[in-house]
Amino acid sequence: MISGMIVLGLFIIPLVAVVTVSQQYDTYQSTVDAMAQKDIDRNSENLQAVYPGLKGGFTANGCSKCNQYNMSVTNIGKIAVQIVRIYVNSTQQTTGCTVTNTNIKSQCILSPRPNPTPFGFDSYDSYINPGEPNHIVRLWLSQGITLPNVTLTPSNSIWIVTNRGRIFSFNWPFPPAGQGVPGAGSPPTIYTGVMMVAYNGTDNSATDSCHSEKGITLPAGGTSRTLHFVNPWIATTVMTDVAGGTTNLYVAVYSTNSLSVQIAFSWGGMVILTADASDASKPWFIGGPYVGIVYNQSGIRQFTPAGTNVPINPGGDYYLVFQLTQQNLSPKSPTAPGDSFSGTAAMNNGYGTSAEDASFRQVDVFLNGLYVRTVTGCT
Amino acid sequence: MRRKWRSRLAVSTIIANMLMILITLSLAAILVAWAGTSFGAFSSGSQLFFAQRGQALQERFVVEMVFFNATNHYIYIFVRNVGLIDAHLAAIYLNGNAITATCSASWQCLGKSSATNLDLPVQQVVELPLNYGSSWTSGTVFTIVVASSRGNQAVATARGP
Repeated sequence: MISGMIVLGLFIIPLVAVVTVSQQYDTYQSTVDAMAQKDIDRNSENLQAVYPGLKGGFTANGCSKCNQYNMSVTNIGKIAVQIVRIYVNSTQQTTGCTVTNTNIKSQCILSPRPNPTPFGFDSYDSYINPGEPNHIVRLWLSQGITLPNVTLTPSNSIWIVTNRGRIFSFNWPFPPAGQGVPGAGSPPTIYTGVMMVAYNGTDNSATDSCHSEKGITLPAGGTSRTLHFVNPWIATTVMTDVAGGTTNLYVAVYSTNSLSVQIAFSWGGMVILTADASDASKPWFIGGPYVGIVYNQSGIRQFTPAGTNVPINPGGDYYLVFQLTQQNLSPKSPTAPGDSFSGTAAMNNGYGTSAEDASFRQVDVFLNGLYVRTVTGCT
Repeated sequence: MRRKWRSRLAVSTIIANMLMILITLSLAAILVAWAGTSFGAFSSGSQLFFAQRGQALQERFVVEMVFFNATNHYIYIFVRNVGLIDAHLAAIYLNGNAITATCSASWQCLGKSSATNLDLPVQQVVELPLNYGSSWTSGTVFTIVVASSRGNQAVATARGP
Protein backbone atom coordinates (compact mmCIF):
# COMPACT_ATOMS: atom_id res chain seq x y z
CA MET A 1 0.00 0.00 0.00
CA ILE A 2 2.77 2.36 0.96
CA SER A 3 4.64 1.47 -2.17
CA GLY A 4 1.57 2.20 -4.20
CA MET A 5 1.21 5.60 -2.61
CA ILE A 6 4.81 6.37 -3.32
CA VAL A 7 4.49 5.36 -6.91
CA LEU A 8 1.29 7.33 -7.20
CA GLY A 9 2.98 10.36 -5.71
CA LEU A 10 5.79 10.06 -8.15
CA PHE A 11 3.26 10.14 -10.94
CA ILE A 12 1.14 12.92 -9.53
CA ILE A 13 3.94 15.37 -8.87
CA PRO A 14 5.12 15.70 -12.49
CA LEU A 15 1.56 15.49 -13.65
CA VAL A 16 0.64 18.52 -11.57
CA ALA A 17 3.70 20.32 -12.83
CA VAL A 18 2.86 19.56 -16.43
CA VAL A 19 -0.73 20.68 -15.97
CA THR A 20 0.41 23.89 -14.30
CA VAL A 21 2.89 24.66 -17.03
CA SER A 22 0.27 23.89 -19.66
CA GLN A 23 -2.12 26.34 -18.09
CA GLN A 24 0.58 28.99 -18.02
CA TYR A 25 1.40 28.28 -21.62
CA ASP A 26 -2.25 28.53 -22.55
CA THR A 27 -2.45 31.90 -20.84
CA TYR A 28 0.66 33.03 -22.62
CA GLN A 29 -0.61 31.73 -25.92
CA SER A 30 -3.88 33.60 -25.49
CA THR A 31 -1.83 36.76 -24.95
CA VAL A 32 0.12 36.00 -28.11
CA ASP A 33 -3.13 35.51 -29.99
CA ALA A 34 -4.61 38.72 -28.58
CA MET A 35 -1.58 40.76 -29.58
CA ALA A 36 -1.50 39.09 -32.98
CA GLN A 37 -5.12 40.10 -33.42
CA LYS A 38 -4.21 43.63 -32.42
CA ASP A 39 -1.53 43.61 -35.08
CA ILE A 40 -4.06 42.41 -37.63
CA ASP A 41 -6.49 45.13 -36.57
CA ARG A 42 -3.75 47.68 -36.61
CA ASN A 43 -2.68 46.77 -40.09
CA SER A 44 -6.29 46.75 -41.25
CA GLU A 45 -6.62 50.45 -40.57
CA ASN A 46 -6.53 52.56 -43.66
CA LEU A 47 -7.46 56.20 -43.69
CA GLN A 48 -7.31 58.29 -46.78
CA ALA A 49 -7.78 62.00 -46.98
CA VAL A 50 -10.21 63.02 -49.67
CA TYR A 51 -10.46 66.19 -51.58
CA PRO A 52 -10.26 68.97 -50.49
CA GLY A 53 -8.55 67.63 -47.40
CA LEU A 54 -9.03 70.77 -45.37
CA LYS A 55 -11.36 73.67 -45.69
CA GLY A 56 -12.95 76.20 -43.46
CA GLY A 57 -11.44 78.91 -41.39
CA PHE A 58 -14.52 80.19 -39.66
CA THR A 59 -15.61 80.69 -36.10
CA ALA A 60 -16.88 77.51 -34.49
CA ASN A 61 -20.31 77.33 -32.96
CA GLY A 62 -20.06 77.73 -29.23
CA CYS A 63 -16.51 78.92 -29.23
CA SER A 64 -15.81 82.43 -30.34
CA LYS A 65 -12.10 81.88 -29.88
CA CYS A 66 -12.02 78.84 -32.12
CA ASN A 67 -11.08 78.91 -35.74
CA GLN A 68 -12.73 75.85 -37.23
CA TYR A 69 -11.52 73.79 -40.13
CA ASN A 70 -13.08 70.67 -41.54
CA MET A 71 -10.94 67.73 -42.50
CA SER A 72 -12.30 65.16 -44.95
CA VAL A 73 -11.16 61.58 -44.62
CA THR A 74 -12.44 58.24 -45.84
CA ASN A 75 -11.96 54.99 -43.98
CA ILE A 76 -11.12 52.54 -46.73
CA GLY A 77 -10.05 49.90 -44.24
CA LYS A 78 -12.17 47.07 -42.95
CA ILE A 79 -12.14 48.16 -39.35
CA ALA A 80 -13.38 51.17 -37.42
CA VAL A 81 -10.78 53.79 -36.63
CA GLN A 82 -10.44 56.20 -33.77
CA ILE A 83 -8.32 59.29 -34.30
CA VAL A 84 -6.51 60.27 -31.15
CA ARG A 85 -4.26 63.05 -32.33
CA ILE A 86 -3.64 65.27 -35.32
CA TYR A 87 -0.39 67.02 -36.07
CA VAL A 88 -0.25 69.84 -38.59
CA ASN A 89 3.09 70.92 -39.95
CA SER A 90 4.71 69.71 -36.79
CA THR A 91 7.84 68.12 -38.09
CA GLN A 92 9.97 71.19 -37.85
CA GLN A 93 10.06 74.56 -36.29
CA THR A 94 9.62 76.60 -39.43
CA THR A 95 6.37 75.05 -40.56
CA GLY A 96 4.22 74.82 -37.50
CA CYS A 97 1.07 76.74 -36.81
CA THR A 98 1.47 80.25 -38.02
CA VAL A 99 0.04 83.06 -35.99
CA THR A 100 -1.38 85.75 -38.21
CA ASN A 101 0.67 88.92 -38.50
CA THR A 102 3.48 87.48 -36.49
CA ASN A 103 6.43 85.34 -37.24
CA ILE A 104 5.62 82.88 -34.52
CA LYS A 105 5.50 79.28 -35.53
CA SER A 106 5.03 76.45 -33.15
CA GLN A 107 4.00 72.88 -32.92
CA CYS A 108 0.47 72.42 -34.07
CA ILE A 109 -0.94 69.56 -32.04
CA LEU A 110 -4.63 68.79 -31.81
CA SER A 111 -6.19 66.43 -29.29
CA PRO A 112 -9.80 65.21 -29.09
CA ARG A 113 -12.15 67.47 -27.16
CA PRO A 114 -15.87 67.07 -26.42
CA ASN A 115 -16.53 70.76 -26.99
CA PRO A 116 -14.95 73.35 -29.24
CA THR A 117 -11.62 74.21 -27.69
CA PRO A 118 -8.61 75.79 -29.31
CA PHE A 119 -6.10 73.18 -30.46
CA GLY A 120 -8.58 70.36 -30.38
CA PHE A 121 -10.80 68.37 -32.63
CA ASP A 122 -14.27 67.03 -32.06
CA SER A 123 -14.02 63.77 -30.15
CA TYR A 124 -17.34 62.67 -31.66
CA ASP A 125 -15.79 62.98 -35.07
CA SER A 126 -12.82 60.88 -34.10
CA TYR A 127 -14.63 57.59 -34.69
CA ILE A 128 -14.84 56.57 -38.32
CA ASN A 129 -16.75 53.50 -39.36
CA PRO A 130 -15.25 51.10 -41.87
CA GLY A 131 -15.99 52.19 -45.39
CA GLU A 132 -17.34 55.54 -44.30
CA PRO A 133 -16.65 58.07 -47.02
CA ASN A 134 -16.01 61.77 -46.68
CA HIS A 135 -16.06 61.74 -42.92
CA ILE A 136 -15.71 65.25 -41.57
CA VAL A 137 -13.47 65.86 -38.59
CA ARG A 138 -13.88 69.31 -37.14
CA LEU A 139 -10.59 70.89 -36.14
CA TRP A 140 -10.48 73.82 -33.79
CA LEU A 141 -7.60 76.20 -33.67
CA SER A 142 -7.19 79.42 -31.85
CA GLN A 143 -8.31 82.60 -33.52
CA GLY A 144 -5.35 84.13 -35.26
CA ILE A 145 -3.90 80.82 -36.28
CA THR A 146 -3.64 80.39 -39.99
CA LEU A 147 -4.26 76.86 -41.12
CA PRO A 148 -3.39 75.73 -43.58
CA ASN A 149 -0.77 78.13 -44.67
CA VAL A 150 -1.46 78.55 -48.34
CA THR A 151 1.89 80.11 -49.01
CA LEU A 152 3.83 77.31 -47.45
CA THR A 153 6.18 75.50 -49.76
CA PRO A 154 6.00 72.74 -50.65
CA SER A 155 2.76 72.14 -48.78
CA ASN A 156 1.14 71.58 -45.45
CA SER A 157 1.61 68.22 -43.81
CA ILE A 158 -1.20 66.72 -41.78
CA TRP A 159 -0.54 63.64 -39.66
CA ILE A 160 -3.39 61.57 -38.28
CA VAL A 161 -2.62 59.22 -35.39
CA THR A 162 -5.02 56.41 -34.47
CA ASN A 163 -5.45 54.73 -31.13
CA ARG A 164 -3.83 51.58 -32.50
CA GLY A 165 -0.66 53.49 -33.25
CA ARG A 166 -1.02 53.87 -36.99
CA ILE A 167 -0.06 57.17 -38.57
CA PHE A 168 -1.61 58.43 -41.77
CA SER A 169 -0.57 61.61 -43.44
CA PHE A 170 -1.42 63.73 -46.38
CA ASN A 171 -0.33 67.00 -47.84
CA TRP A 172 -2.53 69.98 -48.35
CA PRO A 173 -3.30 71.26 -50.83
CA PHE A 174 -3.45 68.09 -52.84
CA PRO A 175 -1.00 68.06 -55.70
CA PRO A 176 -2.80 68.83 -58.90
CA ALA A 177 -3.67 65.74 -60.83
CA GLY A 178 -4.49 65.23 -64.43
CA GLN A 179 -2.72 68.27 -65.66
CA GLY A 180 -2.01 66.60 -68.92
CA VAL A 181 1.02 66.85 -71.09
CA PRO A 182 1.71 68.94 -74.13
CA GLY A 183 0.97 67.06 -77.31
CA ALA A 184 2.05 67.39 -80.87
CA GLY A 185 0.70 70.00 -83.23
CA SER A 186 1.09 73.63 -83.92
CA PRO A 187 0.39 75.12 -81.54
CA PRO A 188 0.82 72.04 -79.40
CA THR A 189 -2.17 70.46 -77.87
CA ILE A 190 -2.72 69.91 -74.23
CA TYR A 191 -4.40 66.65 -73.47
CA THR A 192 -5.98 66.85 -70.14
CA GLY A 193 -9.07 64.87 -70.83
CA VAL A 194 -11.58 67.25 -69.42
CA MET A 195 -12.59 70.32 -71.21
CA MET A 196 -14.73 73.03 -69.85
CA VAL A 197 -17.15 75.22 -71.59
CA ALA A 198 -15.46 78.15 -73.14
CA TYR A 199 -17.31 81.32 -73.42
CA ASN A 200 -17.23 84.29 -75.67
CA GLY A 201 -17.77 87.20 -73.38
CA THR A 202 -19.76 89.17 -75.85
CA ASP A 203 -22.87 87.11 -76.08
CA ASN A 204 -22.99 85.19 -72.82
CA SER A 205 -23.51 81.96 -74.64
CA ALA A 206 -21.87 78.82 -73.50
CA THR A 207 -20.64 76.24 -75.90
CA ASP A 208 -19.13 72.87 -75.39
CA SER A 209 -16.04 73.69 -77.29
CA CYS A 210 -12.75 75.24 -76.71
CA HIS A 211 -12.70 78.89 -77.40
CA SER A 212 -9.87 81.05 -78.53
CA GLU A 213 -10.30 84.70 -79.06
CA LYS A 214 -7.83 86.40 -81.22
CA GLY A 215 -6.50 89.65 -79.97
CA ILE A 216 -6.65 92.85 -81.82
CA THR A 217 -3.71 94.32 -83.62
CA LEU A 218 -2.32 97.24 -81.81
CA PRO A 219 -0.90 100.24 -83.51
CA ALA A 220 2.82 100.49 -83.50
CA GLY A 221 4.21 102.61 -80.77
CA GLY A 222 1.20 102.31 -78.56
CA THR A 223 1.90 102.68 -74.92
CA SER A 224 -1.31 101.93 -73.17
CA ARG A 225 -2.15 98.57 -71.82
CA THR A 226 -4.86 96.83 -73.71
CA LEU A 227 -7.03 94.14 -72.31
CA HIS A 228 -8.16 91.15 -74.21
CA PHE A 229 -11.13 89.64 -72.55
CA VAL A 230 -11.19 85.98 -73.21
CA ASN A 231 -13.61 84.55 -70.78
CA PRO A 232 -13.97 80.93 -70.04
CA TRP A 233 -17.31 80.53 -68.50
CA ILE A 234 -18.41 77.63 -66.46
CA ALA A 235 -21.96 76.49 -66.92
CA THR A 236 -24.35 77.37 -64.18
CA THR A 237 -25.28 73.77 -63.61
CA VAL A 238 -21.71 72.84 -62.94
CA MET A 239 -21.16 75.70 -60.60
CA THR A 240 -24.33 74.82 -58.78
CA ASP A 241 -22.73 71.52 -58.04
CA VAL A 242 -19.72 73.35 -56.87
CA ALA A 243 -21.72 75.46 -54.47
CA GLY A 244 -20.83 74.76 -50.91
CA GLY A 245 -17.85 72.75 -51.94
CA THR A 246 -14.65 73.23 -53.74
CA THR A 247 -13.35 72.89 -57.20
CA ASN A 248 -10.12 72.76 -59.11
CA LEU A 249 -9.89 74.76 -62.26
CA TYR A 250 -7.13 73.80 -64.61
CA VAL A 251 -6.71 76.73 -66.90
CA ALA A 252 -4.47 76.66 -69.90
CA VAL A 253 -3.62 80.07 -71.23
CA TYR A 254 -2.00 80.48 -74.55
CA SER A 255 -0.14 83.45 -75.88
CA THR A 256 0.88 83.53 -79.50
CA ASN A 257 3.20 86.44 -79.36
CA SER A 258 6.38 87.10 -77.54
CA LEU A 259 4.78 89.02 -74.76
CA SER A 260 3.54 87.69 -71.52
CA VAL A 261 0.01 87.56 -70.34
CA GLN A 262 -1.46 88.57 -67.09
CA ILE A 263 -4.65 86.97 -66.07
CA ALA A 264 -7.27 87.31 -63.41
CA PHE A 265 -10.24 85.28 -62.34
CA SER A 266 -13.44 86.41 -60.83
CA TRP A 267 -16.61 85.04 -59.41
CA GLY A 268 -19.79 86.95 -59.90
CA GLY A 269 -17.87 89.98 -60.97
CA MET A 270 -15.64 89.94 -57.89
CA VAL A 271 -11.97 89.35 -58.52
CA ILE A 272 -10.84 86.33 -56.58
CA LEU A 273 -7.41 85.73 -57.96
CA THR A 274 -5.11 87.96 -59.88
CA ALA A 275 -1.52 88.90 -60.11
CA ASP A 276 -0.70 91.63 -57.66
CA ALA A 277 1.67 94.00 -59.35
CA SER A 278 1.96 96.19 -56.28
CA ASP A 279 3.60 93.67 -54.05
CA ALA A 280 6.48 91.58 -55.32
CA SER A 281 6.32 89.37 -52.28
CA LYS A 282 2.70 88.58 -52.97
CA PRO A 283 2.50 87.97 -56.66
CA TRP A 284 -0.95 86.57 -56.45
CA PHE A 285 -3.71 88.41 -54.81
CA ILE A 286 -6.33 86.24 -53.21
CA GLY A 287 -9.62 87.71 -52.32
CA GLY A 288 -13.13 86.79 -51.53
CA PRO A 289 -14.18 83.58 -49.89
CA TYR A 290 -11.76 81.56 -51.96
CA VAL A 291 -8.24 80.38 -51.78
CA GLY A 292 -6.41 80.27 -55.03
CA ILE A 293 -3.23 78.33 -55.41
CA VAL A 294 -1.31 78.58 -58.59
CA TYR A 295 0.78 75.83 -60.06
CA ASN A 296 2.74 75.80 -63.22
CA GLN A 297 2.70 72.93 -65.66
CA SER A 298 5.40 71.15 -63.73
CA GLY A 299 3.13 71.00 -60.77
CA ILE A 300 5.20 73.52 -58.86
CA ARG A 301 3.76 76.51 -57.13
CA GLN A 302 3.92 79.48 -59.42
CA PHE A 303 4.97 82.58 -57.60
CA THR A 304 6.30 84.81 -60.26
CA PRO A 305 7.45 88.09 -58.82
CA ALA A 306 4.94 90.74 -59.48
CA GLY A 307 5.72 93.90 -61.30
CA THR A 308 7.16 92.08 -64.21
CA ASN A 309 3.74 90.74 -65.03
CA VAL A 310 4.98 87.50 -66.39
CA PRO A 311 2.87 84.88 -64.74
CA ILE A 312 2.64 83.13 -68.06
CA ASN A 313 5.43 82.45 -70.42
CA PRO A 314 4.73 83.89 -73.82
CA GLY A 315 4.75 82.16 -77.10
CA GLY A 316 3.42 78.76 -76.30
CA ASP A 317 1.05 76.58 -74.48
CA TYR A 318 1.67 77.30 -70.88
CA TYR A 319 -0.85 76.69 -68.32
CA LEU A 320 -1.42 77.32 -64.70
CA VAL A 321 -3.54 75.43 -62.29
CA PHE A 322 -5.81 77.44 -60.11
CA GLN A 323 -7.00 75.47 -57.23
CA LEU A 324 -9.95 77.38 -55.91
CA THR A 325 -11.32 76.48 -52.56
CA GLN A 326 -14.49 77.98 -51.26
CA GLN A 327 -13.65 78.86 -47.73
CA ASN A 328 -17.03 79.25 -46.22
CA LEU A 329 -19.77 76.74 -46.33
CA SER A 330 -22.56 79.01 -47.37
CA PRO A 331 -24.06 77.72 -50.59
CA LYS A 332 -23.68 79.78 -53.65
CA SER A 333 -25.82 78.95 -56.58
CA PRO A 334 -25.23 81.15 -59.53
CA THR A 335 -28.27 81.65 -61.62
CA ALA A 336 -26.91 84.02 -64.13
CA PRO A 337 -23.77 83.98 -66.24
CA GLY A 338 -22.57 87.00 -64.38
CA ASP A 339 -22.40 84.95 -61.21
CA SER A 340 -20.27 82.36 -62.82
CA PHE A 341 -16.59 81.91 -62.80
CA SER A 342 -14.79 83.87 -65.42
CA GLY A 343 -11.28 84.60 -66.39
CA THR A 344 -9.67 87.56 -67.99
CA ALA A 345 -6.46 87.61 -69.91
CA ALA A 346 -4.62 90.83 -70.30
CA MET A 347 -1.59 91.47 -72.34
CA ASN A 348 1.32 92.74 -70.40
CA ASN A 349 2.09 95.69 -72.58
CA GLY A 350 -0.21 97.10 -75.09
CA TYR A 351 2.30 98.28 -77.57
CA GLY A 352 3.97 96.51 -80.36
CA THR A 353 3.97 96.03 -84.01
CA SER A 354 2.39 92.68 -84.27
CA ALA A 355 -0.88 91.25 -83.35
CA GLU A 356 -1.21 90.13 -79.80
CA ASP A 357 -3.61 87.58 -78.74
CA ALA A 358 -4.15 85.52 -75.70
CA SER A 359 -6.38 82.58 -75.45
CA PHE A 360 -7.74 80.51 -72.72
CA ARG A 361 -6.96 77.27 -74.33
CA GLN A 362 -9.03 75.27 -72.03
CA VAL A 363 -10.48 75.15 -68.59
CA ASP A 364 -10.74 71.87 -66.88
CA VAL A 365 -13.09 71.46 -64.01
CA PHE A 366 -12.57 68.99 -61.26
CA LEU A 367 -15.09 68.49 -58.53
CA ASN A 368 -13.66 66.88 -55.46
CA GLY A 369 -10.79 65.75 -57.58
CA LEU A 370 -12.95 64.14 -60.25
CA TYR A 371 -13.37 65.20 -63.79
CA VAL A 372 -16.77 66.53 -64.65
CA ARG A 373 -16.40 67.23 -68.31
CA THR A 374 -14.52 65.61 -71.15
CA VAL A 375 -14.02 67.56 -74.32
CA THR A 376 -11.19 67.33 -76.75
CA GLY A 377 -8.71 70.07 -76.22
CA CYS A 378 -8.09 72.91 -78.58
CA THR A 379 -5.57 72.69 -81.31
CA MET B 1 33.89 -29.24 18.47
CA ARG B 2 33.62 -25.73 19.41
CA ARG B 3 31.37 -23.59 17.44
CA LYS B 4 33.08 -20.80 15.59
CA TRP B 5 30.10 -18.62 16.03
CA ARG B 6 27.95 -18.52 18.96
CA SER B 7 24.87 -18.25 16.85
CA ARG B 8 24.37 -18.68 13.15
CA LEU B 9 21.32 -16.47 13.23
CA ALA B 10 21.86 -12.85 12.11
CA VAL B 11 18.57 -10.98 12.03
CA SER B 12 15.23 -12.42 11.73
CA THR B 13 13.27 -12.32 8.51
CA ILE B 14 10.84 -9.82 10.01
CA ILE B 15 13.57 -7.47 11.02
CA ALA B 16 15.14 -7.78 7.63
CA ASN B 17 11.89 -6.96 5.92
CA MET B 18 11.30 -4.00 8.17
CA LEU B 19 14.74 -2.70 7.44
CA MET B 20 14.21 -3.05 3.72
CA ILE B 21 10.88 -1.27 3.96
CA LEU B 22 12.47 1.47 6.02
CA ILE B 23 15.26 1.94 3.52
CA THR B 24 12.80 1.93 0.64
CA LEU B 25 10.58 4.46 2.33
CA SER B 26 13.52 6.69 3.06
CA LEU B 27 14.66 6.57 -0.51
CA ALA B 28 11.11 7.14 -1.70
CA ALA B 29 10.74 10.14 0.58
CA ILE B 30 13.94 11.55 -0.76
CA LEU B 31 12.78 10.88 -4.30
CA VAL B 32 9.41 12.50 -3.70
CA ALA B 33 11.03 15.51 -2.10
CA TRP B 34 13.46 15.84 -4.96
CA ALA B 35 10.71 15.46 -7.52
CA GLY B 36 8.54 17.97 -5.76
CA THR B 37 11.33 20.50 -5.55
CA SER B 38 12.43 19.98 -9.12
CA PHE B 39 9.00 20.09 -10.67
CA GLY B 40 8.02 22.94 -8.41
CA ALA B 41 11.00 24.94 -9.54
CA PHE B 42 10.24 24.03 -13.11
CA SER B 43 6.63 25.08 -12.68
CA SER B 44 7.40 28.37 -10.95
CA GLY B 45 10.19 29.11 -13.41
CA SER B 46 7.95 28.59 -16.37
CA GLN B 47 5.28 30.67 -14.69
CA LEU B 48 7.72 33.54 -14.30
CA PHE B 49 8.93 33.11 -17.85
CA PHE B 50 5.48 33.11 -19.38
CA ALA B 51 4.32 35.97 -17.20
CA GLN B 52 7.25 38.14 -18.22
CA ARG B 53 6.94 37.18 -21.85
CA GLY B 54 3.24 37.86 -21.73
CA GLN B 55 3.75 41.28 -20.22
CA ALA B 56 6.45 42.08 -22.75
CA LEU B 57 4.06 41.11 -25.48
CA GLN B 58 1.30 43.27 -24.08
CA GLU B 59 3.56 46.28 -23.87
CA ARG B 60 3.59 48.27 -27.06
CA PHE B 61 4.45 51.87 -27.71
CA VAL B 62 5.24 53.96 -30.76
CA VAL B 63 7.03 57.17 -31.55
CA GLU B 64 4.31 59.03 -33.38
CA MET B 65 5.98 62.35 -34.06
CA VAL B 66 9.43 63.88 -34.11
CA PHE B 67 9.63 67.66 -34.00
CA PHE B 68 12.82 69.55 -34.65
CA ASN B 69 13.51 72.94 -33.16
CA ALA B 70 16.60 74.37 -34.78
CA THR B 71 16.64 77.40 -32.51
CA ASN B 72 17.14 75.71 -29.19
CA HIS B 73 18.62 72.53 -30.73
CA TYR B 74 15.95 70.36 -29.23
CA ILE B 75 14.31 67.33 -30.73
CA TYR B 76 10.88 66.64 -29.36
CA ILE B 77 9.53 63.13 -29.62
CA PHE B 78 6.02 62.00 -28.85
CA VAL B 79 5.65 58.48 -27.53
CA ARG B 80 2.24 56.83 -27.27
CA ASN B 81 1.38 53.66 -25.40
CA VAL B 82 -0.79 51.56 -27.70
CA GLY B 83 -0.42 48.34 -25.71
CA LEU B 84 -2.58 46.64 -23.14
CA ILE B 85 -0.53 47.47 -20.07
CA ASP B 86 1.43 50.44 -18.81
CA ALA B 87 4.79 50.86 -20.45
CA HIS B 88 7.84 51.48 -18.34
CA LEU B 89 10.22 53.63 -20.34
CA ALA B 90 13.76 52.99 -19.19
CA ALA B 91 16.08 54.67 -21.66
CA ILE B 92 16.31 56.81 -24.77
CA TYR B 93 19.06 56.59 -27.33
CA LEU B 94 19.84 59.21 -29.94
CA ASN B 95 22.05 57.86 -32.70
CA GLY B 96 23.27 55.14 -30.38
CA ASN B 97 24.04 57.38 -27.44
CA ALA B 98 21.97 57.39 -24.31
CA ILE B 99 20.28 60.71 -23.77
CA THR B 100 18.14 62.02 -20.98
CA ALA B 101 14.99 63.92 -21.71
CA THR B 102 15.05 67.44 -20.35
CA CYS B 103 11.60 68.07 -19.00
CA SER B 104 10.90 71.69 -18.20
CA ALA B 105 7.30 72.38 -19.13
CA SER B 106 4.39 70.90 -17.27
CA TRP B 107 3.04 69.13 -20.34
CA GLN B 108 6.30 67.33 -20.95
CA CYS B 109 7.26 63.97 -19.49
CA LEU B 110 3.77 63.65 -18.02
CA GLY B 111 4.58 66.45 -15.61
CA LYS B 112 7.61 64.75 -14.14
CA SER B 113 11.06 66.21 -13.98
CA SER B 114 12.70 63.27 -15.66
CA ALA B 115 11.74 60.72 -18.23
CA THR B 116 13.92 58.04 -16.69
CA ASN B 117 11.85 55.12 -15.42
CA LEU B 118 8.72 56.81 -16.66
CA ASP B 119 5.49 54.85 -16.46
CA LEU B 120 3.37 55.56 -19.51
CA PRO B 121 -0.27 54.58 -19.00
CA VAL B 122 -2.28 52.92 -21.72
CA GLN B 123 -3.25 55.27 -24.57
CA GLN B 124 -1.30 58.10 -23.01
CA VAL B 125 1.12 60.13 -25.09
CA VAL B 126 4.14 61.82 -23.64
CA GLU B 127 6.28 64.58 -25.08
CA LEU B 128 9.97 64.06 -24.44
CA PRO B 129 12.39 66.92 -25.20
CA LEU B 130 15.85 65.77 -26.18
CA ASN B 131 18.59 68.35 -26.00
CA TYR B 132 20.87 67.76 -28.95
CA GLY B 133 23.21 70.43 -27.64
CA SER B 134 24.28 71.94 -30.91
CA SER B 135 22.97 72.73 -34.32
CA TRP B 136 22.70 69.96 -36.83
CA THR B 137 23.40 69.89 -40.50
CA SER B 138 20.31 69.94 -42.61
CA GLY B 139 19.57 66.46 -43.79
CA THR B 140 21.19 64.74 -40.85
CA VAL B 141 19.46 61.48 -40.11
CA PHE B 142 18.56 60.83 -36.51
CA THR B 143 17.74 57.41 -35.16
CA ILE B 144 15.87 57.58 -31.91
CA VAL B 145 15.33 54.47 -29.82
CA VAL B 146 13.01 54.42 -26.84
CA ALA B 147 13.53 51.32 -24.72
CA SER B 148 11.41 49.90 -21.96
CA SER B 149 12.41 47.88 -18.94
CA ARG B 150 10.71 44.85 -20.46
CA GLY B 151 13.09 44.93 -23.39
CA ASN B 152 10.82 46.45 -25.98
CA GLN B 153 11.91 49.22 -28.28
CA ALA B 154 10.27 51.84 -30.42
CA VAL B 155 12.53 53.14 -33.14
CA ALA B 156 12.01 56.32 -35.10
CA THR B 157 14.19 57.59 -37.86
CA ALA B 158 13.85 61.20 -38.92
CA ARG B 159 15.77 63.59 -41.10
CA GLY B 160 16.65 66.90 -39.55
CA PRO B 161 15.45 70.02 -41.34
